[in-house]
Amino acid sequence: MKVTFLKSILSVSLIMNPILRTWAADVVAEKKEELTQTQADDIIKLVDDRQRNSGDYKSLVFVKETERKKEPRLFQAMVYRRDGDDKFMILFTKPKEEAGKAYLKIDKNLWNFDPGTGKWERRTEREKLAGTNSRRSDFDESRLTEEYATKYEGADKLGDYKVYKFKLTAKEGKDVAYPVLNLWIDQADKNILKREEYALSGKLMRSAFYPKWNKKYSESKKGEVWIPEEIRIFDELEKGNSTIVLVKDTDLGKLEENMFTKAWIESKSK
Amino acid sequence: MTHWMVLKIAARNVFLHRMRTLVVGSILTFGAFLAVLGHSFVNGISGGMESSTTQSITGDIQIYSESAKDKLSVFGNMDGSPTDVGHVDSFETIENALMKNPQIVSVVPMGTSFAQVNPGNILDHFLEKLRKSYKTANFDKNDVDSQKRRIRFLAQEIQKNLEGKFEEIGILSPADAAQAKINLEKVVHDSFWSDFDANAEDKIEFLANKIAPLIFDDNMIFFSYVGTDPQLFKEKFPQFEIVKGEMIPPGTRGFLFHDFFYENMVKHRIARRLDQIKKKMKDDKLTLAGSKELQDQIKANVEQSAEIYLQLGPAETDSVSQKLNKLLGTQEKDFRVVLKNYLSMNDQNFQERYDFFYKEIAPYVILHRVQIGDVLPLSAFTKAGTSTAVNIKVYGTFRFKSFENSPLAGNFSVMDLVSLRELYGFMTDERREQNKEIEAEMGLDDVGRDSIEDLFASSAATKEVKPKTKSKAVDLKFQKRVMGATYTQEELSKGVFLHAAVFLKDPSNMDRVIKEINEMSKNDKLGIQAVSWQDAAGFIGQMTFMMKAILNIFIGISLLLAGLMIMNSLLMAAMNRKQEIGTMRAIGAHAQFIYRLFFYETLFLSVVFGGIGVALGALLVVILGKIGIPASGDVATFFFSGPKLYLHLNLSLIFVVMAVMVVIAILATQYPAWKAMKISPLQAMQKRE
Repeated sequence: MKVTFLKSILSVSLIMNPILRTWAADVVAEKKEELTQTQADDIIKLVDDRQRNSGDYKSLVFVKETERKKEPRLFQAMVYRRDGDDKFMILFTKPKEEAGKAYLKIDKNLWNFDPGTGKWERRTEREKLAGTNSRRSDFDESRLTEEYATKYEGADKLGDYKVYKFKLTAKEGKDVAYPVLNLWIDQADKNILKREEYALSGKLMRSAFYPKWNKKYSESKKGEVWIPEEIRIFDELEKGNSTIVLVKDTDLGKLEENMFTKAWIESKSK
Repeated sequence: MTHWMVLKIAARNVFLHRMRTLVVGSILTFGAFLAVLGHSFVNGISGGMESSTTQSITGDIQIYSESAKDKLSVFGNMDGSPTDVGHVDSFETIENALMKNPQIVSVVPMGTSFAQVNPGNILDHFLEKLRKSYKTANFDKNDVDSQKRRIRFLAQEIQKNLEGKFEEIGILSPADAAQAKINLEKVVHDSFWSDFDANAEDKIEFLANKIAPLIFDDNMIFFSYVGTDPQLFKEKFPQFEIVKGEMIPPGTRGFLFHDFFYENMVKHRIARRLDQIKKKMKDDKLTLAGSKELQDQIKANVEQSAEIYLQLGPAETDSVSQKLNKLLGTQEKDFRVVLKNYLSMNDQNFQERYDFFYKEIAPYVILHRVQIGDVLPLSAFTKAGTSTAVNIKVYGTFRFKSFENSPLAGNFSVMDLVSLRELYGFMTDERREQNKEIEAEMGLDDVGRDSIEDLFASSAATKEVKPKTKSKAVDLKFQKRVMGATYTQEELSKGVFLHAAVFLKDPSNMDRVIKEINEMSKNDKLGIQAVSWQDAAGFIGQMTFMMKAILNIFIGISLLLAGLMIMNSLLMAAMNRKQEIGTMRAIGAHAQFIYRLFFYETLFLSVVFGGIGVALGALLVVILGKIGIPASGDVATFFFSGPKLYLHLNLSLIFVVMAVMVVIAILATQYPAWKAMKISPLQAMQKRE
């Protein structure tokens, strides 16, 4: 089971939250390319707010992971979230070797289940995941406004799309995985189209592209939610390594009450 | 003139200039002494490192993929990361090709890497056990109640432990700390336990998610392993022996810990420190009063006494507390205090308290975090930071005879190659087929890194997209997959391997065979390269080379210095003895006679003082060969390949050092003798006038 896969799914699911259209309306009205600091901050706040969700979430996720000089590995999984209680779950469905394996996050506990042994393994707070620099804190929701200072870097074009370019620098004392981010945000819909993550040394670590967004109506929010349907992540350190995440069949309806439990996950493997 | 007469004159000169003789002689003695002792020492270390490396992992030669990204280093890079050496496709093909070389005795397939196991903390352990008990039909109510009492007691201990320390710990934010206090208060209260059975699943999850993380115990076990054909590995590394449990049965997937690792890293921390102290007291005659190292271990045990009291249940705590008070002759009521007093051991009470630990405490604590017979979910990482996991049964522990205490030989645990392949992420045909199906379902556009911006060309992005195909309904009922517990020899032989150990009939032919293998690989397109065990051992192999080089430079400098001093003193002598030499020449002495005079003088010095140095060095080597040099600390233990280094006297070394002395004599004589030979009787006379 791959951790970049985990991270990918998490980053997708974090962006799933409903957009507060009232917020968006203000910003969308702003058509000219120059932005004041307040306007820039508002856009980033909007990106954050999309990732906060008190409702339930479910989707079918596909992941294709390619490592240099190796055959790609593909997975299919169900992702479930209950943001109000800070609960999160990934249940692998394909291939057969992975089916039934699961990650369950409750508060700050991240549990890993393997139906082969029937054992639950705890991932600890301080543990660096899979030898990378990602910690469990990476799995928390996006706090761009809280953790980063925004700097508007001007208008740009990405393919045929007019975008705003932002440079985000970590605020002092904030423990973040990547101290500098570059974001390309669609001027029209305010969706992230591209994200670059830099190390403290200024070295580019990962680039992620979000070419497809989908709109869903959320009953609990009484509003529409934009969901990235496809994310392509490129490892800039190990050239040739990449991850593609597809999100399908998203459902924002209420989930079973007892889903985010060890017992529920165990019950799926007989 | 006879040689004998020249020798007498030379000897007279040596005695005549005592001061000069003493200075030059001391330097020669020191050089010879250092050469014998230093070489024996470095040979002892490098020999130990060589045999503990070649006989535990590398064999004489290692082979690996020709197109490897990194150079093979079985011990990993200096920064601890594994080297990326790619893989070679079929072991069988390579083995068949190599075995044609009459020098090669056998080839053992391998793959070395790092992995980790997280056995969870003590509360996780108890909670899992309790969950299992509830799941069994007609569970034993008494047993479950006793487990609950232990968990409640543990929660109380955690509460006591953290009282007033939440802020100090600094890991929790103030809000989390406040919540943790409330949660602890809740779980130690009667109301939490009164309806436990009715809501067991919820209660256990609450304890697991809210209370267990408050035990700040880093319980992760990291280790290096070698994936191989375990039977072949056992056969080809003759020192291999099983210590605990049993050998992995043929054709079965399995794992063996190295016993050194198991006893030093997997064992209960307090128990392992007590073992180490006992060993050092016995083997190295250290005392607690006299050794800072041992005192530090005792101190660590006292500081980590929670490792004991958090593992004991209420009844056990009472019983152990009483016995401890009896042992210590105290009436202390607080178990933590009495435990700390007990763990503060000294030379007089150590043995008694050590025995007490194994008799009265060990049966109630988890002595090894991983038990023989456990099935481990073992995760390993690739360089790119991705991880894979396999489930593997621990069959036992092993060691290499005569390297029992070598951290170098104890570096690797062993697993079967088939599990390694799975960890390494090699595809099976079945997996490939499934990959194709999933990819078809994904319906991806074929866009690479370079053309990624094509995805943002007008149509798709930020517009509502209708899925091309509705995904197939996902069935969430999984068949519990039984891990392939067995494999066939064919499966093992035909598959990939990362590197392999090659054993030779005569290891002194190593360089030649390496050349032959590399040539064969080129001609037959085998795609492999061969390297010596030193190269394969990476920085470990380089270290022995460096040590030898530094010592030789040091000895070289001191002998060069001695040579220069001899030359200088002879030159001075030649100048001082101009008249004498001139007179000798006047009464018919040949230039040859003068040369001999100087040569014998130097030879006398070199042989006598060099001989003294060699004798002293040899004597010390023999003594140290008997009593051994104790390794103080982990670094020395590592270099000595064990707790003591025993030196061996190599007779050829004595001859080599003496020969070097003669060579120095010859070289140092040349210039002064040439100068002296040029002195004519006439010159000597003129000078006198």
